[in-house]
Amino acid sequence: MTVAGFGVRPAWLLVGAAALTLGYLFRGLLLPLFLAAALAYLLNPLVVWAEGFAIRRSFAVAGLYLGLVLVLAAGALVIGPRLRVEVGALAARLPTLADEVDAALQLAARELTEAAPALRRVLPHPDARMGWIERLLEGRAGSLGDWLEHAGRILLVGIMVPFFAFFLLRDSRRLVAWLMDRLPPAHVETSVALCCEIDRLIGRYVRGVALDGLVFGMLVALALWGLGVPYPLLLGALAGLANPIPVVGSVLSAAAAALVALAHGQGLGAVGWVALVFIGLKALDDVLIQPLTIGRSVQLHPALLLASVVAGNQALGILGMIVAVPTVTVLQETVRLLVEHRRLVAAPAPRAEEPAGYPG
Amino acid sequence: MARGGGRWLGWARDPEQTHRIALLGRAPVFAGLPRRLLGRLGARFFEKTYGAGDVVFHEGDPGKALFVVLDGEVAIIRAGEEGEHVLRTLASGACFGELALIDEFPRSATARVTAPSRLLILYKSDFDALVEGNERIALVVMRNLLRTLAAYARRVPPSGAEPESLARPDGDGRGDRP
Repeated sequence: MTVAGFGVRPAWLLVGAAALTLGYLFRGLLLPLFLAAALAYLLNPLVVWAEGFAIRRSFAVAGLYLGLVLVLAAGALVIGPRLRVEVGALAARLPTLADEVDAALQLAARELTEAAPALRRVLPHPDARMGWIERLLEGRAGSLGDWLEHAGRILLVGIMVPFFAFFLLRDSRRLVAWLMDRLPPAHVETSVALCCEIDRLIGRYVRGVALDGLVFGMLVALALWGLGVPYPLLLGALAGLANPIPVVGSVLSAAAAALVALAHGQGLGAVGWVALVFIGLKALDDVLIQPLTIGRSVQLHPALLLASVVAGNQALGILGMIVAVPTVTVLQETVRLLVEHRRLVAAPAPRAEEPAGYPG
Repeated sequence: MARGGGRWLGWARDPEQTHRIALLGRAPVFAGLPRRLLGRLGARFFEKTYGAGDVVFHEGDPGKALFVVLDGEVAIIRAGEEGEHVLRTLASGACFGELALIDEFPRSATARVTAPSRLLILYKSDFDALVEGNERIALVVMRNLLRTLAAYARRVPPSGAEPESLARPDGDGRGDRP
């Protein structure tokens, strides 16, 4: 017995429903699991490459982790000191940051209203304390206990992600083989087709997004350093990390860079330059970098893309915004493959040039 | 690396993958590929266990994958007016469904497992992704496929009628039929 003619047994639907229920019950594990899966997708081509030399997966993964630790250590030696300086400077300014941003915004509002008096109607009075930055920072910062809790959670995620990724990388082949053996033979060809397509789609997307974020973040850091905006490495890292969030990510990182420029008394001119840099780099990203890194793996209608990001935000917050696009793309691809399979089964066209009786 | 890496690397070697590489090297469709490329190819295969009587695919199913018999036995069957007749029986090392690497045209015969078997499965788009960066794999596999088709075309009577037998005279189970 199948459902809707797609060859899906009710037992598999039950398994899916159980997986969804478990996912909801243990939703606290979703973030580390998601990040671990992303890390596993990033590293998997190297493991498969080693597998081509008949090296055991466990050895390949262990060797890869060792290499990764060495690369990270080398990276920390190169950019670590500079990053530490930036983080230290930012931490030292944190207590007065809200006041500085507030004062900078007041100054900017004054400059704007002097240049264009008509803006007085829409902008708050230059002498009025805006206070919203203070409220926002206070709301986000919370108490020392909250900070410790956040730090503890980040540390836990930092430990769990490589741990989960190790086992995902090591055991993925065994897991797939186990699943394959439980598939009814009649569905194997289509299932393998689906597995391959989805696997390739997610892999290309994850690797593309990571590479795109790295390149975009580096370009932003370089451009901000060139403009003389403080904390270029931190802001570049933020831009690279926020880049996978469609539409919203680059706006958030641009706003952060503009606020930093304002808070350091660089005035509206610097804000204009920051905006220009972000618009230019985002255009470069869309036109050149993304086609080279992510390619055509994501082909969503812009309306569907935006709707999926909004829905993802409502369901899972920032994590939801990041996973929304690949999730909807995978669903779209799954439906396309199933429909294509049904079409091929329903109407196999005769091939005139086929050698008679060749059982291929 | 597996061969030249020396004995000291033996403990890191995956016997299952080593066996796969050796098996794929004997399959006619991959004949002529160096061990390095066979290794890359082997890492792309899925594996599935079938019971006796299981149908791998039916005649008319869309072809999406190539199958290699890891162990066991598979019969290639065609339904005719006088009932089913077995075109060929395949044993370990033989492959079938190669034409799926060219297009997704419906299968022209049924493949049924006649003894408990383990099959390796290579999906077309995985093969396509692999050959994108390895033209040599595409060249060798397509040349082997063309040889198979040419050999078959020479045996088919000019009228296009069904040949009496598709089996190789030596019947080694790794013949030029899918």
